[in-house]
Formats: sequence, C-alpha cells, structure tokens
Amino acid sequence: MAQILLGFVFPNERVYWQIPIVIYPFLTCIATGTFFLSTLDHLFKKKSLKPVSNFALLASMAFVSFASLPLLVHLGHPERAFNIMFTPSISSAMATFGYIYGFYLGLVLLEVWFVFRPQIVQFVRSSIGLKRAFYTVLALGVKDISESSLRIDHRIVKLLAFLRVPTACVLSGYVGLIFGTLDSVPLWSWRLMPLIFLLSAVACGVALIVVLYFIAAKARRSRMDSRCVRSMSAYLLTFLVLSGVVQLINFLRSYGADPEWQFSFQTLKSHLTFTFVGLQLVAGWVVPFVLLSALLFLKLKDAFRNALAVLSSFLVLIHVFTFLWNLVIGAQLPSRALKGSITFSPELFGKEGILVSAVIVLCPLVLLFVLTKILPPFEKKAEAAA
Amino acid sequence: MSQKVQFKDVRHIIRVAAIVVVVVVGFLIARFATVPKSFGQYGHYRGASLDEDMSLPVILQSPQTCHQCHDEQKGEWPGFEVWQKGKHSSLTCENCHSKCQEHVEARGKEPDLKRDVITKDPTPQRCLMCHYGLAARPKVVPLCLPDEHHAEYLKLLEEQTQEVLSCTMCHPDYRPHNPKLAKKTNEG
Amino acid sequence: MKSACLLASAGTLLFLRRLLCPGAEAAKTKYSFAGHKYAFIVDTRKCIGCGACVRACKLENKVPNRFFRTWVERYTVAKDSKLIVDSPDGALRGFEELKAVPAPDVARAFFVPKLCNHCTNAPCVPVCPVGATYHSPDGVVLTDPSYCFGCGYCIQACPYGARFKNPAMRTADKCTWCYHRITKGLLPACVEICPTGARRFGDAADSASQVAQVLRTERLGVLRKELGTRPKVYYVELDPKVR
Repeated sequence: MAQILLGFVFPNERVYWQIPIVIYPFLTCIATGTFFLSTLDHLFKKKSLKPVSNFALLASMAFVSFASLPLLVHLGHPERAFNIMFTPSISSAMATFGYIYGFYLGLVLLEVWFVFRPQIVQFVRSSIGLKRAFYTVLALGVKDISESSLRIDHRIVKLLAFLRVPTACVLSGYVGLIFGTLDSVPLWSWRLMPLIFLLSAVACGVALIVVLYFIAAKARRSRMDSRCVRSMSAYLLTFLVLSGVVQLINFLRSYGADPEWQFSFQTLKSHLTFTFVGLQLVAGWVVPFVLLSALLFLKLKDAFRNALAVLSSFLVLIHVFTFLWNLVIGAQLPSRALKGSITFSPELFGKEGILVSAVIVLCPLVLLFVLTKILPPFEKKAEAAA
Repeated sequence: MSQKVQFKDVRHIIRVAAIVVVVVVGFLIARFATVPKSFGQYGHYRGASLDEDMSLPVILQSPQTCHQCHDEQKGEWPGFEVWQKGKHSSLTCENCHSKCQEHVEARGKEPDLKRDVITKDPTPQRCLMCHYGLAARPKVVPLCLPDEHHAEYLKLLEEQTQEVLSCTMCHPDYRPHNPKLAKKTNEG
Repeated sequence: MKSACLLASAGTLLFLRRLLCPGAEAAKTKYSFAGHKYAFIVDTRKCIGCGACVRACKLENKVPNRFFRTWVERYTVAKDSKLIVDSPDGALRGFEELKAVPAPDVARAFFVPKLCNHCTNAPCVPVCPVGATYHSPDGVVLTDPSYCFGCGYCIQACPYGARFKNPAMRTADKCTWCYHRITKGLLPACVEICPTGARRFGDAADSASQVAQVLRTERLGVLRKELGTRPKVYYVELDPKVR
C-alpha cells in the first residue's frame, strides 16, 4: 500500500485515509456550498440568481444524499455505521458531524419538497397512469395549491432557508474541525481549519453550479442567462480570493519557528509538487483569478464571458479537489517521527481505489440528472427563447 | 396573517410532520433495540468489552508453570534448578524453548515422536540475537564479535569436525559462564 | 473398575487443566477495578535490541504481519552528529549491524522500546465517534473490536504511532498492556519475556512494588511531553533525541 520513501517512519504508519476520505469532504463542500446560491434567491431575493436557484437546491440534495457514501466505503464495518448516531461521543468532531449531517439532509429534503410542491401538484393534475400515481405519492396525496397554502409554504421555505444557512456553515466547518483538532498531525492541527473549509465550500459549490448550468444549457439546447453567469462569477471570485487569503495565512506558518510544521510542509511540497504547486496553486487559483477578474472587469461579448466563467469554474473545482487531496493525503506522508516520510500511490482497483472513487463522484451527478427530470428546475421560458 | 389559517391549507404540512415523527420514532426504536445493554455501564463504551478483554487466552507462561512438570526433585527432565543457578536465569524458558501451549498440544499425539518440541537450535544465530556486539548494545549482557574475539571458535570452524558448530560447545546453555573457560574467554 | 478409571481420568484432566491454564482459576476470582495505578517503566540503558518482546507480543496477542503492538527502535548518532533511527520490521528478528554508520563511526547508540503509552489524557479516546475506545476503570486504554467500525480517526490522533488498523478484523488495534494477563496478576508478555529487565510493569498503588520505587527515585521522562498527553509509560533517563 504505502512504501517508505526515505528515513525512518514508525512501523505502524500508513496512509490510512485515502481517496474516499478526499471525496467525502469534496461532496460535503459541494452540498453545503450550493446552499449559498439558493439562499441568496430565496432569502435575499437576488433576482439575478433566479435561473439557477432551484437547480442549486436540487444539486444540494443530490450531493448531500451521497456525501456519506465515501465514508461507508472506507469503514472497516459499514454495517455498524449507525453507531455514530446511536452512541455519539460528543467530544468527537466526527460524531457531531454525523448529527449535523442528518439534520442538514432533513432540511434540504424538506426545502426541496416545499419549493417544488406547486410543480408536483401540476404534474399530478396533468399526467395519467403510473406517472400520476408517482407524483401523487410525492405530493403526499395533497393536491391543494391555493393561494393561502402557498403563502404558508412560502414562509416555511423562508424558515428552512434561514435554518439552512447556519447548518451549512456548521457542517462544512465541522469537516474542517475533524482535521483541525488533531495535534498529532502538524499539517492539520490548525484551529482555523473550519474557515478554510467553509470558504472553499462556497467557492466549490458556485463553481459546480456554473459548470452544470453550462452542461444543462447545452443538453436543453438553450442559452445560459448571462446576467446570472456574471453574478455567479462575482461570488466565485469573492470566495476564491477569501479562501486564498486564509490559505495564505496557513502557509505563512512555514516562516514560523515550528520545526514540525516546517518539516511536514517541506515533505508535502517535495512529494506532491505537481498537485500542490501545479494544480492547487497555479492552475487552480492563479489562472481562475485572472480569468474571473478579466470577465468581470473587462468589456467582453456575452458568449466569450460565459466561456471564461465555465473554464474558471472548472479550474476552481480542480483547486478545491487538489486542496483536499493535499490536505488529507499529503498530511499523512510526513512521519510523526519527523525523520522520514511515506509515499502514496493510488491504486486503480480495490475498495478505496480510483475506480470506486470515480463511481462515488458520479453517483450524485446521476441522481441530479434524475431529479432534474422529475422536478424540472429551469424556467420553461428559457427553453422557448432558444 | 390577516386570514385565519384553514385546515386545508396545512394538511400537507401535517403529513410532512407525521413523516418526520415516524422517522424520529423509528430511529429511537432502532437505537434502543440495537445498542448493547452493557453500553454506558462504566462509561461511554460497552462494558462487556472489558470482560471480553479479560477472558482472552493467556499464552506465554512463566518458568513456574514449566517447573510444575520439569522438576529435578521429581526426577523429571531436570533443567529448572540448573537454569535457576546460571547466568541465564533472567530469561524465561520460552525465550529459547517452545511455548508451553505448543508443547502441551503436542502431548499424547504421537507416542513415538518426541513429545516436546523444544527448539534445539544449535546455530550461533540463536545466541547472537542477544549477544552479538552491536554498537548500540549496552554491556548488560556479555557481547561477542565472532569474527574478532573468538579465536577458539574460529579455530574450531577451520578444524570443522562436526556438522554444525555452536556456541554451546564452550558456553553451555544454562551455565554460559563456565568457570573452566573463565581464563580462556575474555567475557565468559 | 470402570468407574475408578473414569474417576481417575477425570481427576487427571482437572489436574492438568489447573496445571496448564493457571489463568482460568484466577478469572473466577472477581477482579476489582478500583485502586490500581498501573505504570510501565522502560529502561533504555538495559535494552539490548534482541526483539524477544516483539515476538512474544505477536504470539500472545496474535498481532497481524507488518503491524506492531510494540516495537524497538535503534538510535545511532555518528561522530559527525548525523542521527539515524531504524526499526527493521519493528525489530521482530532483532537487529543487524547498521551499514550506514559502521561501528568505528558511532558516537552514541542505544535501543528504545516503544508501545502504547496508555496516556491519562489520551488524544485517541475523545476522537472516537462511537465510544469504541475508552479508558478502563483501572486506567488502561482499550479498544472494543466488536463496536469499532474502523473509521481510523483514533489511529490518526495518536502522536506515537502506536495504533494501527487490524487488516483481519478491520478495526483499530493497539497494545492493551496484555489486559487479559495483568488482570490476573501476571505481567504483560513483553515484560515477562524481556531478558534484561528493560521493560517493567507494576501497580504503583502498591507502595512496596518495584515500579512504585522506580517512580519515586529515578529520573523519568515521557515521550512528547509537550503534547500534554500524560503517558503512563515512563522512560528512565530518556535521551532528548528520542521522539
């Protein structure tokens, strides 16, 4: 599995947390980051984001449903997975995460249901046979969408969105705390780790929506709403810069007197030069920063601006993924004995290999596709315009 | 709200609430059915695990256990008293001999086969595991660098009258500090 | 005649059982959790790096290949101040001469046995999400393989590298101070087998015990004191280079 590269490592040291543990915060970050867009619309009435807000909500649902799958794949005994909710140990960040995750999942499901209820009832009324039965069940047998009930729904949606904001923040924060509270691993033991996770989560969520919006537009043969794309790009740039600043603060620790952190950081840089410098820093941060600034501050044609936005978003996704890779796997490479390091070569097959991980990442995308068919999130107007 | 809330408007909310209640109740039932009863007995863990850990089989035995059979006074396989008086008395029997468990398991299996499976490993490696003069090794045991210090051993190697040469030819197992050799060997 | 034979064989069997499993008797007497202050003393001045402890532990606790509940490290400081640490397969088969620093170039060298420190402020216990690792009422840090679901959080939390994921059980595993032995008044396997007394174990609550004496009189250190884990494995005259 892991080979000793140089020097001395403790005999039990391995890279115990592999690709699934990189994917799990990645999916969680997307699940929480996408809240940002739908909240801006539902709670703050930001009109420019209306075209994607319901889509972002569905994306939240798809990704939060699968966020625990990589953990289940990693566990030695997934059949005991519910122990984390039956006998949680409050001192453990992982246990607290379990409950907040469950709560967030509930909130998202409820919000999706209340937001799409009018549409569901429409489908009940306009379809026949099996489809009608399906939508009737989905509507819980209630076909009333009168003004008064919708008004109540509206207030509930506002309440749910209001609750979802702190929950999403705490959820992504707790993923950071899982790493941040461990003093044994120098690259993790930073109490501000939740902040990096929260900011990266929003950047990542917005970036994914831009990319998926592009794919959805192409699939539906319609055009993206340029004002919406511009708005999302602005938020993306803001959070990219913010997360970059916090990451910079973290790097500045390398100029401090902490020899453990220095050793660990040097090891990370030498083992993971490509993923760290090449992908996370240059391709993942500098290039999207330049492109996003260009599209926001220069006068460009709509189509070109949209293209730049999609490209930047794709690179931001790479940035967050490699950030997580370097954090989760990279931090396990330097030995706790500080006299050596281990290497990590991802395997293709195997329970925690590349193939299984790729399937895990595809699952929420497939679910999202299915959801967009059951609960179409885009306005029909856009279709007519194309 | 200016209008009174009518039942028909909240019917769907009540159904959602009912589902939520069912899920929570189901969760609680699952929790109390699955979590082992001894959980929380001594702390936030399964108390029965302590008993399980305590009842694991004891494999390594002390020399006292071996002494129960290998007793000179009983006339059975002497060794214990000799060992007790020699320099190797700080070692347990199982350091060099087969473990009590294997020994007992072999008993009565094949009458013709030697019942004990004592490792009579005569090669120097057995002794050098502890006595080789590694740089890091403190002199709490006599140290030996076969290439340098044991002229007699090397001479014997040359003469090679036996198949296998062993340290025990000059340093008996139980009394490695053989007084007869004290003058010849530098460390005994 | 037949009944006499039967009685005789039954008696022999019982006698043999008492003989061969002295532990079984002790298990019947109730072990009291209260009033124990277990401590483990490691004297690196006496360790000869023979690896008997590693082998004994493997046998006693069925430790899987390539993982260790206890191991021995060798620290070698060359005359040019270069420090080399090695532990070939955890010292399972002892040590051979260190090729990197031949004997004439060695300024200082010694062996350091390592095991789980059973810290009073163990960082591995609070991070377990389900309560599968815990402090026993008598202060020993144990894991529950029937409840652990193998997330590996405790393994990441241990700064000493004492924990590992048991590939057969797929749960977290580590040294238990041979809990099944010490609760019967026996010594842990590694202490029992150590030929030089580099490893010692006892109950410091018993003021007459050797361990209590050592704790009173010797210069003791612990590993990574700055982390505040308060280990219960004490090293006599611990070299500052040891981590």
